[in-house]
Amino acid sequence: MTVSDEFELHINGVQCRVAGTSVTLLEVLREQLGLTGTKFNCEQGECGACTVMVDGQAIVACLALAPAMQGTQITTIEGVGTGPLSEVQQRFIACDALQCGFCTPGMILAVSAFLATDEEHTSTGVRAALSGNYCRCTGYEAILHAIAPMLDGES
Amino acid sequence: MQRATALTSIERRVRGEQEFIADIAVPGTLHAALVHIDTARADLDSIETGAAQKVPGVVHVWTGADVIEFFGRMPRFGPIAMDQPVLAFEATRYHGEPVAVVLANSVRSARRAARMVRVQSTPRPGFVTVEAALAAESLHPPHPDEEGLAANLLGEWEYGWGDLISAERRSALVVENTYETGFAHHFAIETPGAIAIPDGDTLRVLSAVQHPFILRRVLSEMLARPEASIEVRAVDMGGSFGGKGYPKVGPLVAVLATMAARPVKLILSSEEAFFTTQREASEISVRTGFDGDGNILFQDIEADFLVGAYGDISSRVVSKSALHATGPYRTPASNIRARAIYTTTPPTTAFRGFGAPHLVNAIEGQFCQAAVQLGRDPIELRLQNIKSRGEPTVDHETPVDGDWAELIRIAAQEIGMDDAPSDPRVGKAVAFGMKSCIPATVSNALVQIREDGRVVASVGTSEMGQGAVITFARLIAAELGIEEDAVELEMGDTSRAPFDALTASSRSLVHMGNALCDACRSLKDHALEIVRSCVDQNADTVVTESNGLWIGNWRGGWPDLFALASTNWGSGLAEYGTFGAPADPDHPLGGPTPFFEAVATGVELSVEEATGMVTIHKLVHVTDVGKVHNLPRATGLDEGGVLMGVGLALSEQVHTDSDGRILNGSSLDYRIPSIDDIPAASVSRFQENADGPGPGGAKGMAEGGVLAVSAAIRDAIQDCSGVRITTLPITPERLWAEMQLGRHESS
Repeated sequence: MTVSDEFELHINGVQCRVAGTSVTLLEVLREQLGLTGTKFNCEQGECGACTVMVDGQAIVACLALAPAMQGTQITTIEGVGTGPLSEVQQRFIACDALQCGFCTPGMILAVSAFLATDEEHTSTGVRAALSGNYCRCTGYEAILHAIAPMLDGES
Repeated sequence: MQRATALTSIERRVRGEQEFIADIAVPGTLHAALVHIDTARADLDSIETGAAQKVPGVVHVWTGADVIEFFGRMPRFGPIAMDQPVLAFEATRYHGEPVAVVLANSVRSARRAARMVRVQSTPRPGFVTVEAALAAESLHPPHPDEEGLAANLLGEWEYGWGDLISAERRSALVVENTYETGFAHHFAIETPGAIAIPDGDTLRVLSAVQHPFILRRVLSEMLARPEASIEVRAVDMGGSFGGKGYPKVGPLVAVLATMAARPVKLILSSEEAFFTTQREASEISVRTGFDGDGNILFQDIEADFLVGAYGDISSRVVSKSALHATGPYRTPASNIRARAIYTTTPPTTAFRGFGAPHLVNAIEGQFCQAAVQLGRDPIELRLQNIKSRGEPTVDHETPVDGDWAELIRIAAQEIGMDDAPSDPRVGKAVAFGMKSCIPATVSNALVQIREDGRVVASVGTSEMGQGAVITFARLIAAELGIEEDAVELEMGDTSRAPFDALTASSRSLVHMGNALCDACRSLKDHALEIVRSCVDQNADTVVTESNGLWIGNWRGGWPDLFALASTNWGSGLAEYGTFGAPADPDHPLGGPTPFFEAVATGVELSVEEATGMVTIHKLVHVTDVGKVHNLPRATGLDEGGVLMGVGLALSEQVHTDSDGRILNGSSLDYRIPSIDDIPAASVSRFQENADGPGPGGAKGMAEGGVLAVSAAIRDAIQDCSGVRITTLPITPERLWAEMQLGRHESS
C-alpha cells in the first residue's frame, strides 16, 4: 500500500484516514481503525455478523469495498449510543435479548436501520429486516420482545 | 483482562465493547493462516512453500516436517488420547486437516501466502458409514490396549440387565426401527481461535475455549513442560455449544508460538470452523418389547456413533450417553451395545446433549408405532412406563430425581393433545428427553471482599453466553448482602482461579454455584468472629439483608465491619470455596450423576404437501430445573436450545461424499434457523421443586432444548401426514419424496 492508496471514510461522525485498493470495509474497520465492535463469521454476506449502517441502510461490511464507501456516512456499533445507550440497546438489555453477544452488534445495527426507515415498522417488516442476521444462542424470541414496543402496530 | 459485573457483562455486549478472541491485539503478534487440501484422506507427496515465503509480510511457512524437526517428534493432542497431530504429515485423515501454516505480519498476507503453498497429494479412499468404516483398513495403528478391536473401532461398550430372551418371549409386540442422524456443525457465530504468547518461562494462551484447565493439562503434556509454566485464559466466547470445549486451535497455536518465539494468533474462518467442530452422526437400532397391556418388557439397543478421524472426547460421548440409552422408562431387561467408529471426517467433539439427543430421538420413536399397534394413546403409553421419583435408574446410579411424568403432562396440556382434532393437516406430538450430568468433578472458587465492600470472585468457569457472570454475581450478592453490581467476576483464567474441572454438562450452576456459596459462608463465619471479638461476644447468628449483615446486635455493611475490626483484622477478607460430586469406582462412569436434566417438548405443526415444508405453529418446552436463578436467561437458553434442535431436526446436516469430502461447509449451504424459522408461538415452562443439589435446590439446564424436539417433530409429522421418517434431518426433499412414495403406494 502506498500513500496514493490512502482515502477518507466518514465513520461515526469522524473523518478517518484509511488505505488500500481492494480492502473491504470490514477489514478497514477492524484492522486499520481498531473498531472491533463489528464482528465477522462467514465473510460472504450470509450471516449478518458484520452489519453496519451506510447512509442509514444496513449493509454487510464484508462485501463492501472500502474505497467505494467514500462520501457516505458510516455508522458502526461504536457509533450507536455514544455515551447514553440508544433505545434499541436499552431494550436489548431490558429483555435479555442477547446471550453470547457476538451477533448483537450486527443485530442492533440491522434493527436500528429498520427503525430509521420511513416505512411503517411492522412485525413482519422487522422479521424480514433481520432474516439475514443469524443468532445461534437466543432463538430470536427475546430479540423480538425487545423490539416489539418500538413497532408501529400489528400486521 | 476484563473483569465483569452483571451490568458490564451485558452492557459491553450491546456497545460492541466485549472482547472476543479475534478482538485482542498483542504487540508483535504473527498471524497464522492454515493450508489445507480439498480432499479428505490423502497421502502428502510434497509441499512447495517457496512462492508463499516470498509474499511480503510472511515470516515463516511451516509444514509437519518443520514441526517434527523442531520438537524431535510430532506434538499430538487430545483430551483422552494424545492422538491428533497439530499438523498432518505424510497423510491427511479428514477434509480440512491442516497440512501447513503461514505466519505473517497480517492476516491478509498470511492468507494470500497460504493460497500459494503448492501441495501434491494422492487421494485415498475414505469412509463415512458404519459399514464402510468397519470394512476399510484401519485409519490408525492399533493401540496396544485395544487388541481385538475391529478396524476403525475407537471403542465398544456394553450395558445390560435382566433376562432379555425370556422378556422377548413374553412380548406381545416388538417394535423394531433403525434411526439415523447425519453429521452436524455447532455453528457458533464466533469461529474458534487462540493466541499463544511466550513470556519468559511462561507460555500464556488466550483462547475461546470452555475448559481452560483441560487445555492447560493437554498443552503441558504435549509440550512436555510443567503445567505451572502455562497459563490459559478462557476468553468469553461468541457461543460454543461444546465445539470450543476441548482443545482444537490452542495446541497448534502453542506449538507455533514456541517455534517462532513470538506471539501467534489464529482465528479460523467459517469454512475452517466446519472442518474443526462437528457433532457425531449415528445409526441406532432399537427393539422395544411391550406386553399386551403396554408395559415395556425389554429394550435392545445397538447404537453406532460415527466420530471422525481422531478420538477427541468421543469415547466419553458414547460410553456416557449409552448408559442411559433406555431413558426414563421402566425396562426390566435390556441389552445396550454402543460403538464409536472412526470416519474420514473431522473429529467430532462434545455437542450440546453429549450423545443423548441421538438416543432420545431413537427410543422416543418407538412409542408412536407401539401406540398404533396396541390401540393406545402415545402419551398414556409413556406415562404408564415412565419412572417415578426415587425409582432406581441403573446400577450404582442416582435414582430418579424429579417428577418426570408431570413434565409430559404439562407439555401435553399446553400443546392441547386432548383437544378435539381441528385441522387434519395439523399434527401434534409430545416427547420426553433426559441426560445425566458428568459425575465426580470438582469446582473451586476464590471470593475476595475488598476494603470498600466490593467483591472479586475468581472462578475457572468460562462465559459463553449461558449467563454465568450474571448468575454467579446474583448468588454472591444474595449470600453476602451486597449489590449485584458490586460483584466482579474473573472468569476462566488458570493464573487467577483455583482449579475447576470444566464448563460443560450443565454443571456450573450446581458445582461452581455451590463452591461460591461455600466461600461466602466462610466469609460470613469470619464476620461472626469479628463481631464476637469486637462488639458482641454472644452473637451467634448471621442474617443476610439486601444491604448488609445483621450479626447478633450489630448491623452494617462489609466496610462497616472492616472499620470495626481494622486494628486487629485489617481490611478485606478472602475465602476459598469448594464443591465436589462423589466418585464411585463401581459406577461405569466413575460416579453417580449429581442430577438429571429432564425435559418434555410438545410440537404442533403442519406439512405443506406440495413442497415438504414443515411449519411449526406452536412449541412447548417444559424443563425440570429445581430452581430458577435467572428467569430471562433460563428462558432464553431453552428457547435457543429448542430452535437449535429444530434446525437439527429439519435442515442441518454436514454432507460429504463417500470419501469424506465436505460438500456444504459454508453458511450458504448449511442451513441453521434464521428468524424466519421460529415457531409462531413458543412456550417455556420450568418445574421448580427445589430438589436439585445446587443453590436453592437448583439443577443444571440449557442442554434440554436439543433432547426431545426432534422426536416430537417427527411424530407430529407422522400424525398429520402419515409419513414416518427415521432419518434426521427431515428436510423438505426427504419428506416430499416420502409423501410422494406413500401416495403412489396407496393409489
